Amino acid sequence: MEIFWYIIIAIVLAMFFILDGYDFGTGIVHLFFAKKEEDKEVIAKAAGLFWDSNEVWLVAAGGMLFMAFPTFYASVFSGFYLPLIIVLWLIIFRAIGLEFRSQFNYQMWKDMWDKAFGVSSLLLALFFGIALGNIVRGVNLGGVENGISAYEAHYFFLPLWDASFNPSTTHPGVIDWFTLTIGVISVVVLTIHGANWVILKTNSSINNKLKLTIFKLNIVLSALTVFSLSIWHIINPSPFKNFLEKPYLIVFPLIYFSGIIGLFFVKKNKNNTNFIFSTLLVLGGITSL
Amino acid sequence: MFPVILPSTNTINEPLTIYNTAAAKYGLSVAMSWGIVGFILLFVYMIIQKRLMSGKIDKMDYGH
Repeated sequence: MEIFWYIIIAIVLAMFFILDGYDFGTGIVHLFFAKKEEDKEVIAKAAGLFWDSNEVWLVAAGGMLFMAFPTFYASVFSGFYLPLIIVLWLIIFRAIGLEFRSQFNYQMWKDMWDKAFGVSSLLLALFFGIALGNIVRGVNLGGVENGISAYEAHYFFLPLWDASFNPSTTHPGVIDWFTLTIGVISVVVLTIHGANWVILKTNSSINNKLKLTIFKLNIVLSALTVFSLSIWHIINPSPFKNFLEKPYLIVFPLIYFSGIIGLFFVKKNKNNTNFIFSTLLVLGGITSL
Repeated sequence: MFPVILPSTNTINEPLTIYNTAAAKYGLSVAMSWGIVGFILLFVYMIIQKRLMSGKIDKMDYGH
C-alpha cells in the first residue's frame, strides 16, 4: 500500500514539474528574451492561460502527501519552513504578475508586473531545484550534535544557508554549493522546457532565436550534468547503488539522456518533437532521483 | 533513493522512508478508493483543458 501511494504521488509530482515547469520556463524566457510588447503579451498569455490548472497538480500532491505520509509531511513542512514561505510568496507574485499586467494600459504598470512574473519564475525554478538537492543530500534529522538529538528523530530545522556553504558540514543549510548546482540545472532545464512551450504555442518573433538558445543551453546542461554526476559521490558514497541492485531503474536516467540527445537536433525537429524531448528531460531528471 | 524519501546526514537517526512515515494501513486502503477517483478526475480535467486550448494561443483572449 505504501508503494502504491509512493508511485501515485511520484506521478502527480512529475506531472506538476512537467506542466508548471513550462510555466516557470516561460517566465524566464519572458524575463530575458522578450523585448517587444507584442512578444511580452503573447508569452505572458502562453503561461497565463495554463498556470492555474497546472498548479492543481501541486495542490493534489500536497493533499496526497498529507494523507499518505503524514510524518514526512510534518517533518518537511516544519524543517523547510523558511524556503517554503519564500516559495509561497514567489508563487503569489508570479500569479498576480500574470493576472495584473493587462488590467491597466500603462507601460510602467506592465513593466512592474512583467518583472514580478519573470523574476519569481526564475527564483521558483531555482528553489524547486534546490529543494530536490536537499532531498538528495539529506538533512540532520533530529538536529544531532555531539551524538545527542535536539529534537524528535524525524524533525529538523534548516537555516537558509550555513556560513561554510558546505553540504558535508554537521548542520548544512538549505543552500550550499551542491544544492545550488542542482538549482542551476533546474533553471536550465525549465528554461529549455519553457522556450519549447513558447515556440509550440505562439507565433512570437523570437521563436527562431529561442531555438538557437535551446541548443546553447543544451550544451550548458550537458556540462552541468557531467559535473553534477562527478560530485555526487561527495554527498552519497555509493550514488549508483540502486541502479546496480535494480538494473531496470536505469530506464529513468535513459529518459533524461534521450531528452538531452534529442534537443541537440532542435533546429531539424518539429516543434511538437522538441517539446516531447524537453518533457523527457524533466521527467527523467525527477524520476532518476 | 527508494524507499528513502529524506536521507539523514547523521548516523543516530534513521532516514525517513515510505515505511516509517506512512499513515496506518487502514487509512491508506480507504484513501485508495477516493484517491483513484481523484486521480482520474485530474487527468480528465487536464485533457479537457489541453483540448480546449490546443494550437497556437496568439488570438485567444486573456487578461482583459
